[in-house]
Amino acid sequence: MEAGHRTTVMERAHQALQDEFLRKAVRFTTARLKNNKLRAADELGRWEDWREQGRRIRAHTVAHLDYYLKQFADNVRARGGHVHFAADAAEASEVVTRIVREKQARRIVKSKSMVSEEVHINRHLEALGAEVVETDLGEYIIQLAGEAPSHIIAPAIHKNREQIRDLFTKAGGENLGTDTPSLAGFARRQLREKFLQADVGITGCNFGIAESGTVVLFTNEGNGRMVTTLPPVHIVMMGMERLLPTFADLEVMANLLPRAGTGQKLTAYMSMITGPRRPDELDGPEELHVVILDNNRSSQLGDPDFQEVLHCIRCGACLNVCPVYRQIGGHAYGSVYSGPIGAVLTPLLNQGPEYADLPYASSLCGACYEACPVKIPLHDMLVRLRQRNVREGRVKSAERMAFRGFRQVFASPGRYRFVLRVARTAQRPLVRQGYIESTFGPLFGWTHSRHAPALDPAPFRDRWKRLSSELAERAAEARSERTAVTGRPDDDLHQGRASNDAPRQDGVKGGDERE
Amino acid sequence: MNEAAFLQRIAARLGRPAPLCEPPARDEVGAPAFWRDYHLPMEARVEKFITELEKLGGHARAFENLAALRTGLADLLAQLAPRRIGTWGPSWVRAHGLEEVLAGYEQVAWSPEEDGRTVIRRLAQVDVGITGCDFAVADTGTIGVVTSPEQGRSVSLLPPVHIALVPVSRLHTRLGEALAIVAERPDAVASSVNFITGPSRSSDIEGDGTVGIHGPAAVFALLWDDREPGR
Repeated sequence: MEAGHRTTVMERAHQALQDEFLRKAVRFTTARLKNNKLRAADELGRWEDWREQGRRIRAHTVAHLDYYLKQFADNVRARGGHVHFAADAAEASEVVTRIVREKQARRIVKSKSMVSEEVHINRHLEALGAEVVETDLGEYIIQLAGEAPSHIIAPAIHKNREQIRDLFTKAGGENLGTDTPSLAGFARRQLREKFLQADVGITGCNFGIAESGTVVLFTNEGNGRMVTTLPPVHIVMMGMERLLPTFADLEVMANLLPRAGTGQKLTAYMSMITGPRRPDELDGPEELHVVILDNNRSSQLGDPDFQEVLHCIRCGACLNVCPVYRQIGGHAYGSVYSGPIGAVLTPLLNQGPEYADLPYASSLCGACYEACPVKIPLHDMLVRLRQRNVREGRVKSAERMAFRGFRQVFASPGRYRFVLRVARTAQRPLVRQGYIESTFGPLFGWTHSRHAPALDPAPFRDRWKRLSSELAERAAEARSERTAVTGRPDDDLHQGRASNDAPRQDGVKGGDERE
Repeated sequence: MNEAAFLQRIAARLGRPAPLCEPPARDEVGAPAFWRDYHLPMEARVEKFITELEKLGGHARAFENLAALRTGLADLLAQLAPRRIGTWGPSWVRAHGLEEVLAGYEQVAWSPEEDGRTVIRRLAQVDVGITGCDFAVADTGTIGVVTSPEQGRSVSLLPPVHIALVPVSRLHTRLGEALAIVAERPDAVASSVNFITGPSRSSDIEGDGTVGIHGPAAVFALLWDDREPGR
């Protein structure tokens, strides 16, 4: 929009739409994830009750975040961990780079963490001269490609096996095939050594358990366990809202998150880390740091329109069902969080014009809300963000004028009738067989790719007089036919009442006949 | 940013003059009531566990007693033909009477007597890791392992094959029961508790599933009935 050198979501979407492979790959994978989720939810049963329970737990936690955050931090420290509070991305990366400098760490391994992406921690660590290796297979692939993740849980969804083979060959793979076992085997061998040599491990955090100071990670590959087992220092980077009061609440999230994300009953690993290794333990980190990030999350608290965005558990289900995401993929959103949650979260975490166009990358169909395991009304938030853009004057003047005109026309019946009369005449040169096909004009956004129905030559108000008399005639005919057969106008209705005291279920039919 | 200011900002946004110090009241905690009622009798529980783990490509077998399990383990190892085997600590091996079964193999036992770096390096070279199980979950086919000086995290992680010995007295119907045991002493939770559900897996290459990407590619659960006779 107003951003100078930055591209708009429209431009990025156009670019993505030219990439046939990307579109096919994203459609294929999201459809698979979506169907797996539906199957898993069905198998569990009472999915709506589970969603509601999930929503309640998240709502309670976020509404009492001050209490649970303090309890969590106290418990992390009581178990021997260190807690750091970071107001924004700059502070968070400062904390992490300070720890890495103090430890004189050269080799860093990471498991997937959206917060670390949000903070762009790799860039800061590489500036120190440290080697940073992403160890989630998908993240490893996009790190070699120098790209950002394009899906919350399937970051390399847009890469095909030939591209992956080429990236791995550049990284030192010799005579690699394009079959999955060869490619995965190469990554396993490369990364195994990295795990064993690493000085520092960085992970995200799916949930922090307040009652015990435990960090919970849901992973499938085992890299999360490697990163929290082998390096002598473990740094956790977490958003401040990522808490649950108790282990009992974790059972609900463990039923919702994997199912919503991939359709699994449970991920291959659910790892619960509580403090650093204890005396006499031989593996696990000697030092544990937990970095808790605000970065404009707190600005959503107390805002009835947006507080619920902090309920998100980052499952990616809304991406998989979004008709827009499925066409344009994750990179078109231009930030680390993509899809419907990204279109809401990104402009909230980064106020200002830069991402203000993201809420328009949506058809407002509400599929995201339906898919959300904790019932976040993302479609409402997208509308409210558009309203916010209007309030802050972040719309084109033509659009502002059009809506002002709309208000004036629709506020007065006389003006409305007049305008429609004029429009009916003015549309004539554009109408072909009842539709407007136009590659120019104010409705171009609609008409360049689909037909818009033309205004009918006779308005409904004019036709209504004729229609209502026709309807009355038909109703009279029906009545006289029935009387001829039964001798009584509403015979079956009376019988129904007599034989059954309960009110009739087919109320519509009954109502018709009473008339 | 300092902690007090960080929490104060949150409290202020939530409309409180200062951060909340008293635990907030809750009407409902944890899983829905209908789920908490979900409880399978032992026989069905064992069956469910085996079905669920095998659905994920894992393997599970139930034995009548520990002696039968030892024979089963010996057969399994003969099939797998590992060169080296890693296990939890020596006292765990003794408690399960596994000395004889393991005698023919080069072993790396997880012992607090050893140097950590060395034992990890050696464990990275083993073909099979054998561990116990602190709680298992039938509903999901899950094996839970708790870290302690003799129960290293690496034993169930680094080797390409993981064999877990599961006493049925620790097999629960749902995850929440295992979590409740962890939560009994929230101030004394182990440094690491891992719930393992099938082999390590990834679908990051064109959505094509592959196992053993970082953790074990094969998971075996050998269950035995350790309950007092007559119960």
